[in-house]
Amino acid sequence: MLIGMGAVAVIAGGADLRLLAALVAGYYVVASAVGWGILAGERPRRAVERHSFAEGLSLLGITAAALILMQLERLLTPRLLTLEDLATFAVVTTLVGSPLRMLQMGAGYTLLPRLSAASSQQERRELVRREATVILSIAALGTVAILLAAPAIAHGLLAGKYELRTGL
Amino acid sequence: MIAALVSGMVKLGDGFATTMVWALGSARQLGWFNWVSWACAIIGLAAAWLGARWGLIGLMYGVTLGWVCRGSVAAALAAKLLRGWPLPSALQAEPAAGITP
Repeated sequence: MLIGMGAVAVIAGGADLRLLAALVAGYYVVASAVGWGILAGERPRRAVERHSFAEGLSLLGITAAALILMQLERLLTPRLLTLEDLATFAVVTTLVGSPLRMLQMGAGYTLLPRLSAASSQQERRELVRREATVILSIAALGTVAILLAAPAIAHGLLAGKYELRTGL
Repeated sequence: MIAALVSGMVKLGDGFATTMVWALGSARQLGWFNWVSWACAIIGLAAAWLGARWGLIGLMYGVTLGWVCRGSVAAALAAKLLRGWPLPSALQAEPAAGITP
């Protein structure tokens, strides 16, 4: 989908905002249709434990607080700093933060069901230890790779329009 | 790029610890962690406001403080849930589903 978006943007002679928005929305429609299709095709499982409404509200609150923290820089930077700072932040986050964000999401998606399914404390501890080791190793390697590659990528992609200081 | 890397690593740690709380915590513990998350979001907001005096880097570290706050609490709670350590009475609840002693 991303390749398609890029190709369409190039063919169209630029990145029209409405076109890109329609493509992103289209991606979500297709992805959710595929997901619901897979779920609909599965055989019904045995009855699962029902979750309480209060528990659902708590999970909603935890997620909402995380989302606010996630967007806090974008919301505060134009007010407290400048639009240039906002643009610089967007570039730095895309280059440096995205790989770690992918790792974070992947770890969350894979750890949650296995941790819930583990039948003993010992099994859970083993699982967490194994996952933490893998994630830390990948994150450490990724950090080094980002530090080495990001300046060159930024220079090549951004044509020197942004000054990405090491401290950022 | 150091600030963005620090922020990314802290978010990664927070995500890992929060996932453990999500998977193992009882309804009462999740409710308590919900309030903690909002408190940490406010701490992050205040710290970012103060940190903005030092520019974009200060603002980023301010928000990161909010993540550190939330991640620390989540990690502490997750460690207690994993090791079966006694929790404060306000957080004690029925064992998480599926645990065999």
